[in-house]
Amino acid sequence: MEHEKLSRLLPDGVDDIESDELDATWRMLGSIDSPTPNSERMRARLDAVIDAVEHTPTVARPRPFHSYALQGLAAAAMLVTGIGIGWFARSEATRPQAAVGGTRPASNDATAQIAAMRGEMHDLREMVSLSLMQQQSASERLKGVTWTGQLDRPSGEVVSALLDALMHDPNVNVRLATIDALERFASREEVRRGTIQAVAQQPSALVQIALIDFMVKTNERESVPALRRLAMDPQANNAVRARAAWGLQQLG
Amino acid sequence: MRNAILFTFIVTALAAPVGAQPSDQRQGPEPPPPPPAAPNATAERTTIPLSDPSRPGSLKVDIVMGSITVKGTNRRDVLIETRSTSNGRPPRRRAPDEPPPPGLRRLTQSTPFSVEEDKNTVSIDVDIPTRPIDFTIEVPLRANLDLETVMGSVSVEGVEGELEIESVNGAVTLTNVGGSVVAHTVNGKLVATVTRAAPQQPMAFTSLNGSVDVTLPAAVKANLKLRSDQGDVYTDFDLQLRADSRNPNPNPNPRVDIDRQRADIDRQRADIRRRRVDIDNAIYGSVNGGGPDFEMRTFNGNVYVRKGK
Repeated sequence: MEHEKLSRLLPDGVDDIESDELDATWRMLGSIDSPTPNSERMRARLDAVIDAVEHTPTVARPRPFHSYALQGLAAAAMLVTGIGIGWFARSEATRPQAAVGGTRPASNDATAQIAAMRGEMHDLREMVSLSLMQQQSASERLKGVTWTGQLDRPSGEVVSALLDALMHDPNVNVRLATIDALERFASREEVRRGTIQAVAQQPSALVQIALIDFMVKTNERESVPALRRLAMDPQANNAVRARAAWGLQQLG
Repeated sequence: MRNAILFTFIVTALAAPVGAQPSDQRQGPEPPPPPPAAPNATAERTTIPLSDPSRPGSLKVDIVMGSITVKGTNRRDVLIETRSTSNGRPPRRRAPDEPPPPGLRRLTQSTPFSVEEDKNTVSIDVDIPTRPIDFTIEVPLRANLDLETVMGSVSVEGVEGELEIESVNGAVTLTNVGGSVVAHTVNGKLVATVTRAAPQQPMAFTSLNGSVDVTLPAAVKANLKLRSDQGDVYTDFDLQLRADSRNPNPNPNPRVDIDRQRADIDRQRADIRRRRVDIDNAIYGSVNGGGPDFEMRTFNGNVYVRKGK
């Protein structure tokens, strides 16, 4: 049926020359590079936009607080500052704090206050997480690590504190917890580099296994050389070597 | 007198694991008789006062060879008893309970460890790390512990505080402890009975090659993260499983989480490239409405989470 339709449309048959030319044209068209999006440039642009949005006033790394009383005082001070900022916001045209929340309320005073307070709360939570992570007690550090999961859009400082804990925290359980916390940021370049580095340097087998799982879960192909070294390392724990071999298989 | 009875008891308790050791480290055709239930010449006792007994003190012990036993008692200082041990001892050395050769007597050597108290923290260091010493330490009922050994077990009984316990080749046994526990052993069994959990404090019990057996107060409020790579997970708690186990910490703020979105985009991209492997077999669940995170994890053993009284 298809053929009949075509024969009716092409009563004189197909011109060989024309057909060859058409063929050549198609081939030439095929050889033209399709406009595939440059993923790196897209990523860079996306990063730039995200950085611009994420740009928050940097929180100075706080010295560890020694008591909850101090933290409570800090919270109260922050609250007062937040309300104060909201109050003054009425007469001010530009407010950096409003940009933190990503909203620019025009005239509504209450909205401005809420936005400012939300920004302050975010900073405070972040500060508490960071200060907890520097405590001497492993339980407090563990708390700091899990609290980072409550932060939306944490700053680079939080991510680097997590990476620092993964590399240097003396407690195995704290290091283990950071891997779960870092999963959210698996696409960040410093996290990818840091976790790959940690696979090789990690003294605890349990953490090494968790890191191998992390690599497979995030499909981190750049970890293949590190995993290969680990799988071949006669010094490494047998379970770790087996897991590394398994990870290599999964990453293909 | 009371202390002597107590010491006798501890020595007997210590003798049990020693007796349970495989006999390959023993010398001679017959296993030595169980140690006498009386202090022998190698035991030493030291009492260290705390600078502020009204506040909870801290104890830090970091040794390589030997076991650590800590007991909470009704006291305001720290009592340290040490005992040379045959556990892990090079075969050339005499067993501690062996009678001296005829006509000779054993001389007491200088204390093989040093103790330091600074701002309510008692730190114990051994001078010769390769020389095995067992520590039996009594602390006030409320104390923070930071105990670490490589070749030996760690036991804690009746102490409430921040407990940080680590062993490489030994078991970790925590009996009737309170506060918060962060414990890990590489090759041993981890058994813990927590009678009082500090509110809002996370805990972690992990092992590589041993089972993890934790008893928690029946009314404990916690979010449990349970995982055994090669074994099973058992509990008698009424565990409310999270619907989305992959996302244990749902963003409390409904606004856009860029990082998570980016991770999702990356994941989707990876999924398109190839089939995704879902390997996170951890179980996330809350008990009694949820609370701080408790992680129980082992690679080569079972995980037991029991409801206490």
